[in-house]
Amino acid sequence: MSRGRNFPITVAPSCRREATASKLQTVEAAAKQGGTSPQIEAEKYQIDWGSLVASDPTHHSQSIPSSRFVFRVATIKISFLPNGVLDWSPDRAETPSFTTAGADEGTELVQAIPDSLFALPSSDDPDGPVVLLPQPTTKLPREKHLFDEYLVLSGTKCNEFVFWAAFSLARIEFPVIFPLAFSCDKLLDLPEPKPPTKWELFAKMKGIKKHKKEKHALDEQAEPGEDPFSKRKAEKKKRIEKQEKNRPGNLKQAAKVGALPRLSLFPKLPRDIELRWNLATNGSHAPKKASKKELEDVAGMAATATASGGKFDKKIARGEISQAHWEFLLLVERKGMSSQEKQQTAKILDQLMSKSSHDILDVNKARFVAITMFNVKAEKQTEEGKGTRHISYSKEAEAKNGNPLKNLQKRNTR
Amino acid sequence: MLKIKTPKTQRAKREFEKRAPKLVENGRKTLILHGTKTSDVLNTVLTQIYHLKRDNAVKYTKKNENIRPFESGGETSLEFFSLKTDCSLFVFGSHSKKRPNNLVLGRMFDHHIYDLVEVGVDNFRPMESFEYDKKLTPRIGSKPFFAFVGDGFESVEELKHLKEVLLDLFRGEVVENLNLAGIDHVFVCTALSSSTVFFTHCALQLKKSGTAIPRMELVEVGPSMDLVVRRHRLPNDSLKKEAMKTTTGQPKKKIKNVSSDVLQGKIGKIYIPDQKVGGIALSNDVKGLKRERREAKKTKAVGENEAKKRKTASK
Repeated sequence: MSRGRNFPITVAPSCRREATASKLQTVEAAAKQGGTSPQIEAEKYQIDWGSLVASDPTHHSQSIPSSRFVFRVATIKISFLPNGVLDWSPDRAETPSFTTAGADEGTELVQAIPDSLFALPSSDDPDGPVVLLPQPTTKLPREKHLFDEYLVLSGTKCNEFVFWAAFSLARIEFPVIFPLAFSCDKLLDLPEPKPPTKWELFAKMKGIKKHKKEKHALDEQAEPGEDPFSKRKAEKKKRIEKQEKNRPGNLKQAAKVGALPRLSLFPKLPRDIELRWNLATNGSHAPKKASKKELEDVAGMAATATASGGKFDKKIARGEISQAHWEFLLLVERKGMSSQEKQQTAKILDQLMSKSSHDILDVNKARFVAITMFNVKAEKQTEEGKGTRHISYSKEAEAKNGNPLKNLQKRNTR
Repeated sequence: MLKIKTPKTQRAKREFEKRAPKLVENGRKTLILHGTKTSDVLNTVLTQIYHLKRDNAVKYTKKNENIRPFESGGETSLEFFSLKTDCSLFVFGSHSKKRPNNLVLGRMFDHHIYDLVEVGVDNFRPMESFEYDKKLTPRIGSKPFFAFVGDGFESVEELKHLKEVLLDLFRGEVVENLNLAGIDHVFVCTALSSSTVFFTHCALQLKKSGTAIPRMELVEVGPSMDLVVRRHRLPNDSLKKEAMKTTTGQPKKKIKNVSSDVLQGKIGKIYIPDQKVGGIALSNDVKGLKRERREAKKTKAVGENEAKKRKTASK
């Protein structure tokens, strides 16, 4: 079976069938009109157009004919018997073609169905002619039970059915305690509508009706063409630009008046006195502008105003603070342990580096150093100490004092 | 599933509604499974049936040793699977010395076994063994034709039963509108004897004929096999009665004041009762009412004061 494009087979509700039944011809009527053979065939065969089934009850089958060969390799060959037994001869050796068998019963039967189907009025679809099939005549059992409501609506009452359904459900689905004294008729009635609530009664009496609130409200101010959000954005931008333009002028004005905060070291005076002082000294209410020297002083004081005198703060350039403060910082640096610490850490680092990388260690140089050290030590130890410093590595010296390299190795492996 | 599961999400609720019993039912789904022992032939048969019914079938691959459809206790597994997968048809294959290449075709009603037919498969020819023009291959989902040849299908009970079951198995959805260009394939069953049926599947070729009705030509494409009916179990009468129940043929309950017109469709008549104008309750929002109340209160207060005065005076 190839998964190709499925021709649309639509399923319409059964009510449509009833509505159009009167308008459409029945299949039998169409069959009669269709031609000569369909009529005969319709009578000869039993055809269920709804499920597309055709059966031929008139055909007699005999016992398996002797000329039929059954192969193990699953090839069948049935012969054509005079009584009209089906001849199917798909032979493996020859090309198995069904149609070579001639006028097959099966083909005839199958032909009978579309003979009448094609005579039906068809609606023109882009995919092909679509016909309305009648209801299938072969009655097949349902998949699941019918609900009571459907039966009630159709005007029947089945007490037995209800009992059976409940007990059958009880077998697997859930335990249902079904008292036998219960009247089945009650089950079949449709459920009663809920009694109205107190509010519902009150509203009914007063004539209050429910009004659904609209989520959208008409904005009277908005114009139809514009986007208010982009408009708002643009307006804000304009405002910001305007303010930026005005800001320097404002600051100047404020400075003139004396509203800007001071940058001086003077103690904070009350406002009015400050303004009067400014006026007296500068001629305007604005405080006097600080000079470079003043700023440098202030910066210097700030830099050294920590508990440790600015020792551990970020390094400051010479030009940023006053000379005196800068010299103080220098002194502070030298006086402290910082340089010594630096040396110590450098030493440790060197030792570590020398231990880990042997490329750096020049063994010969180390030997030379070690020997020198050893000889110096040896000379110091001897009371003679003639002052001649010569590098000698002799067996006697080694015998006397041991391998000079031994200590070096020891030190290195520590 | 011993407890009632109520759906907690909308999706689950929709699935439940799909599986609920309806007036016009969905097409039957098929469950294909096998027992502990199967033969090569049987495996091929099951897979080919699954391919024929691809859109609405479920194939299980595991071995099921506790399924014995004809025994009273051996069907609980089947019923459970049917409930799980919402399948109301099943094809159960098994192979034993006593019953070689055994297929049990069964139907369910309300997920309990309704009826069973046990057939043996002989002379099976798979789909691959047929040579034909590949353009003729039938499509999955197209509605098949059926041809039942032989009077055995009417006279012999077992064959009658088999006919019903085969029809149910391969029919697919019951449709109202049929696209005549989409007629693809036909299942041909011939009653060879009172217990054997030759079942084959052919593609239909619509050839030009002189009239508007095309000439049908059958080309064998699908699996073909001999079905030997071994056992069968019909449903008991009460069960059958419930399963065959339909609403067609019952008179429709007449709803009052509703009629249908061809031009306008459904028309209803509404009879409005007379308005009792005097008895309608007025709302509290009326300003006049408020004034009335105020005045009423005023007069009441005045009356009280006067009564007080009178009292004090009398004292």
